[in-house]
Amino acid sequence: MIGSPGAVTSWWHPLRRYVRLYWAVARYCLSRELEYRTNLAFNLLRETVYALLQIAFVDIIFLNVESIGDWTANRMLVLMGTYTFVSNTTYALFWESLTSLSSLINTGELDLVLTKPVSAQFYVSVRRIAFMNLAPAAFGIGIAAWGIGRLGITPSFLDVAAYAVLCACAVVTCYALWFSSVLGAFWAGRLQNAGAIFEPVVSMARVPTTSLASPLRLAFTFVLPLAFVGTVPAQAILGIAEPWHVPYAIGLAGALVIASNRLWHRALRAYSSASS
Amino acid sequence: MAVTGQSVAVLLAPSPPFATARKFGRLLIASWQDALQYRLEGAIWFLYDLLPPLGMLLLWLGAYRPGTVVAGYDAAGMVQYYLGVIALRTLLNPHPEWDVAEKIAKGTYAQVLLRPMPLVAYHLAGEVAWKGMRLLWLMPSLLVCTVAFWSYIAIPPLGLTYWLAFALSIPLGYLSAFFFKMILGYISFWTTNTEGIFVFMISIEMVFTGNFLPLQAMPGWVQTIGDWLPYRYFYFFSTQVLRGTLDDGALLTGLVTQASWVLVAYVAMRMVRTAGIRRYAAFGG
Repeated sequence: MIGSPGAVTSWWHPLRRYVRLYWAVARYCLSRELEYRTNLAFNLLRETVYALLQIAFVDIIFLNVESIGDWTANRMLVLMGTYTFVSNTTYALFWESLTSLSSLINTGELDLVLTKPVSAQFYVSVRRIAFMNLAPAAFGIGIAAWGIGRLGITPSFLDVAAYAVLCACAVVTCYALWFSSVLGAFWAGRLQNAGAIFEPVVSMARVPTTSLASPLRLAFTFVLPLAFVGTVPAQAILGIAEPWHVPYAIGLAGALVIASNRLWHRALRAYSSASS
Repeated sequence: MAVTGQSVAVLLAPSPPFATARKFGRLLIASWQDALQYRLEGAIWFLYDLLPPLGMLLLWLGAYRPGTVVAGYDAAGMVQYYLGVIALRTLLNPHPEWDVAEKIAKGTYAQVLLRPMPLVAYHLAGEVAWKGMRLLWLMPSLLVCTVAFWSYIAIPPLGLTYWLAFALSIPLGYLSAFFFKMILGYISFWTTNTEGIFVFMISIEMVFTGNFLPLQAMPGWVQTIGDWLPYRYFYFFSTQVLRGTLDDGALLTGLVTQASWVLVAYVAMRMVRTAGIRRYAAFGG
């Protein structure tokens, strides 16, 4: 019965199990990365330099022009910082897991995953965490904060809350889209680079969608919702977001996760083990 | 299997040219069949050539106002530049280093060394075949881009000299990139953790090949560094030939410099490879 202590226990108990499992995965991945400290340091440096380069490229554009659409250099810093934060948080949480999913399918190791007493989608999505990407993610937040400082604005509590919710929704949206695209490996036979499809696609989220022509702007908002990965969260912290953005982003993220789960179950029906 | 100095000489001995050409043709067909079978993988890699420059182009178009000229590029020039980059990068940017590194790390490069054909021909055949597959993905994508940016598209009124120079710059650009990437791959003889190095080098390459921004739009000091590196001759030079803004002297200088980089890269690749094979120890049969 909803509202009774029994109902709370019934949903909290499995949730607690997943939280504990995720915590164990995080500790394992961190200890694994700390074992090779030089490698970790080099990877942290590499990812940060790469994020810096992405921002530098946009900054160089502003050596030559005054604005991109209605996005000035400082506003673009906020957008690029937000994009860097969202994309690298997504990489940190899912990159290693999703890029290795096609290998699990091709080698038949997925059998082992399916026999585990946890949600298989949860397990294949979070079994590896790339801590090295947290450095550029933090760097992204720093860049966004720097842009806000240079604009001389003070976001309200509501703006910050909307920004946090929209960034969280952006990560979930990225995950759902990425996970769904990787599932193509179930039907395509060998598709070892299925996980790599996300990186070039999400790179388009650096473009402020409000500067695009109408057809592209609508496509990036409603068809392939990259606007919600960069532009919309940045608009929220700048105080220029539309009222419908937050509820739409929450609904979109939820719908995409449910759709990815349906697709996952459908993909599993097409799976025949490759192991002996 | 430790490789001695004498066996290095045997492994790297030249094959008769006709026999090599025949083997190259066979290997090209086999690699093409492989690329055809795994065409979806090729499509995903193609997205890396297509979408990042396309994103930068959309950024630029958002920045252009009527009459804006950036580093010598008006809006139409910028569109044509990025479409040129997409096409040329897709076709002229090889990636043999990943295959070389993987084979060395796994110990299977010994099998490649023992094949009765030149190593360059072996790797080149595989790369060219996969580029053929990329071409199949490139054509419809370019068609869509051309329709989307139709108002910016114009065929440059170039003389024969430019077209000849462009035709020459294509194989020279490809070979210089190919040999430099081979050197990168041979780093695996010394260290197995090469992925970080490769990704880092891709970042450097993105800057100096003009993949993200035309080099003229870069700060002066970046351009100066770029002048001393081979990257601008991979495919940026070819885009500049097509723009028709280079005079005859600049065309000739560019082509000679490009050819020099090919020679330097080839010699360096052979030296690195010989040194690497001397210390190579493979396992398995």
